[in-house]
Amino acid sequence: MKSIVERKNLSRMWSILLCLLLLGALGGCRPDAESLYTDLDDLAGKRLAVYHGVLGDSLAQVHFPGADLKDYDKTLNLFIDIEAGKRDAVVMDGVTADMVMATNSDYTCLGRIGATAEGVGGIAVMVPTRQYAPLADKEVDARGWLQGWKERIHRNLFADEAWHLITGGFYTTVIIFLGAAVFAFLLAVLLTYMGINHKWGWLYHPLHWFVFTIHDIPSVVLMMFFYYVVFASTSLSGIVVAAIALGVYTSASLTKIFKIHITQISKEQREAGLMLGLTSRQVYRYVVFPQAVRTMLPLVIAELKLLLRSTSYAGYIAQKDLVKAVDAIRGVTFDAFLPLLIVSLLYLLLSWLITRSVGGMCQKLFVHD
Amino acid sequence: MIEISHINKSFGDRQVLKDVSLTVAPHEAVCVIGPMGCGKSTLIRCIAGLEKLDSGQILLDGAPCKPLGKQGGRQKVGMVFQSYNLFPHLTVLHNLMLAPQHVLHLTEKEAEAEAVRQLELVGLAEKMHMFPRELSSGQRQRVAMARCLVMKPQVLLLDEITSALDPLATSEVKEVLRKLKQEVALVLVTHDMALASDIADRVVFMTDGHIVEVGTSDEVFNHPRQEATRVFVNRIRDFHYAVRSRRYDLYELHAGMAHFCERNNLSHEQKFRVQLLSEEVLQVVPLDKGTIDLALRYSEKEKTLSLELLMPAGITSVLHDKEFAPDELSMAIIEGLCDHMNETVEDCPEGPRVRLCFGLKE
Repeated sequence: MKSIVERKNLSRMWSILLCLLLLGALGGCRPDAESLYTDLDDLAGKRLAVYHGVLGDSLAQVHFPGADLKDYDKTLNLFIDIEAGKRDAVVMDGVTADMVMATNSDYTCLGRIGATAEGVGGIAVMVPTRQYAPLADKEVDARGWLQGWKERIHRNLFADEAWHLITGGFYTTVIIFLGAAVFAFLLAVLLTYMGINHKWGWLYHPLHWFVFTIHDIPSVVLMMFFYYVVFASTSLSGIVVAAIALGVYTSASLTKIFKIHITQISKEQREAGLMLGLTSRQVYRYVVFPQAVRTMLPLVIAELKLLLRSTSYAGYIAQKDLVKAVDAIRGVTFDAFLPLLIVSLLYLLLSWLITRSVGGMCQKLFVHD
Repeated sequence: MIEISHINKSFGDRQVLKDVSLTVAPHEAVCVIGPMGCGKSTLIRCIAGLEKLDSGQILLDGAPCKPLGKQGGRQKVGMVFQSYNLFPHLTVLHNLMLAPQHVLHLTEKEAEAEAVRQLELVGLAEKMHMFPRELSSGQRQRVAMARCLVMKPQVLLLDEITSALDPLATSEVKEVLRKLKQEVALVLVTHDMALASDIADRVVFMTDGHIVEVGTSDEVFNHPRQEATRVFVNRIRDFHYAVRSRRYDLYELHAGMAHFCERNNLSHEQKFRVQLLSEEVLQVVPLDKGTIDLALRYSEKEKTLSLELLMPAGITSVLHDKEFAPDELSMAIIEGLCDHMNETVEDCPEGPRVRLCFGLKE
């Protein structure tokens, strides 16, 4: 029998899923009536994407006066705009264009400008193969809408190790998260214990100062600092360094939460427990912690979710996490939507798992009967 | 069975307990009374072991007390607090079962049986599955007492347990205390005179950190030997308020008077008249010459109420003063409420002081 809170959480998840799918569907749509091109003249008045280079720029401007030209210095962004229908044709130098077409049959050359008779050099103008009239019929008939989606999914997920990128990224993200969470928790417990009982002041004060000062630096910068400076000369893997950095960062907030919620349980409650004959440890276990955990649980879960989101910066220190997987797949397929959707869903899944497992653990440990 | 010998306790610079000695016999009910800040709460906390003594010792059954918080810690002494301190995350039943299970190592069944027995003793067995927040304050206080009793203490310490309760709840608690007297020794800190005279075998009056007088409740309340005791005990019988300036707290004064009237079973009409009189009188007398000691006295024999004001030293006369020009309306009201008013001069250590007395009409 699901509780009201659980039902609310589930319906929230479903609605998020639905929104994502709708957004994605919109984003992933292609404009209905796609023009077909036969030769360069068909591009009059169209929007051109020009790959940055002296040759491309000047020839394009000469040959297509008055056309809407947009400059790109990254092929990735250029092709993404074409796929999204924001631009109609690609203008790039012949050599690069040949390389693209060699590996990607989705693009065909509409015509060349300034090339030799053998078709070398100069600039090439490319359009998506499906919009290239001589071949378009075959393309369009060959694919139905569903088939198109199937191919997209295949290309993004399964072909060329895309799947490996995603699972590898998932694994990396989870490892960094767990490592950081455990480290943060242990450090926070240590700091809280020392703070409440005023023990080991020689260790407590400098450590406390260090952790809380560090917390003011963004977690990204911190990760990079640890990786490129502090641990640069060691052979520690980037995953470990990321876990340490994020662990120290998160432990500051956790310490604050622990300390406030534990000391909030009034001194008189503890005295009542002691008067009944409970040892100090028993007072903490049966009186203080059950109450403190209940109040601090939502805050701790929020901190852990923040930690999960912070792991997405691991790409900055050259770790192959989920975000990097998106980038990698995007670079090959020029399709942003599907990888992003999948990765977003994975993050949602991880978030949900955090809530369930932490909540469940606390339930088991501290609530009786 | 409790022997307190020559204990001293200071908090920083302030010495709160000065050379206090007291004994409590088994099954005896001792009430500690005294003004605020006299150290009675500290005394009881020292017996409980919640405060460390500077010097002196407290023996329970001839042996020094075991420290709290360690294995085998204090159980012979149970303490009930003014704010009950029930564990809010546990039901009433589990509140009572916690200590027996983890300290006395009873099984769940045994602990539950004992808990139910104690709850029946205090009359709250049907609330056993409720949480403390669902109970009234009187019920919570009784549960707190039952929680102590499951540990079978020999002494029960009670720190102002009725101070936060309404009269009905106070009676509930008083009934339970009467029953408990037969089983445990009680050390009760209170300023409820009625409770003390009902329950106590002995009354201890403390002031300023030391014990002034010890005796039966009849001796202490009706025939106090020491001056300090007499002053304090009378103060409880009368209502006293210090008016320090023009900006005195009128509502606090009126509330105090209302409480006094209720305690003495005076009618609403009388209460209203007393409040009105005090307000008008304080309009006509000078308020910025020093602190005025205001007292409301009720004589049960003659059933008369009188309002007395002791003016600060330096004022030679009020009613006969040349500059006394009271508002006509105020004087009319005062004359309408009183059947006599007079002025006398009293000799006080700080100089002669004028005492104004207004006797209220019946």
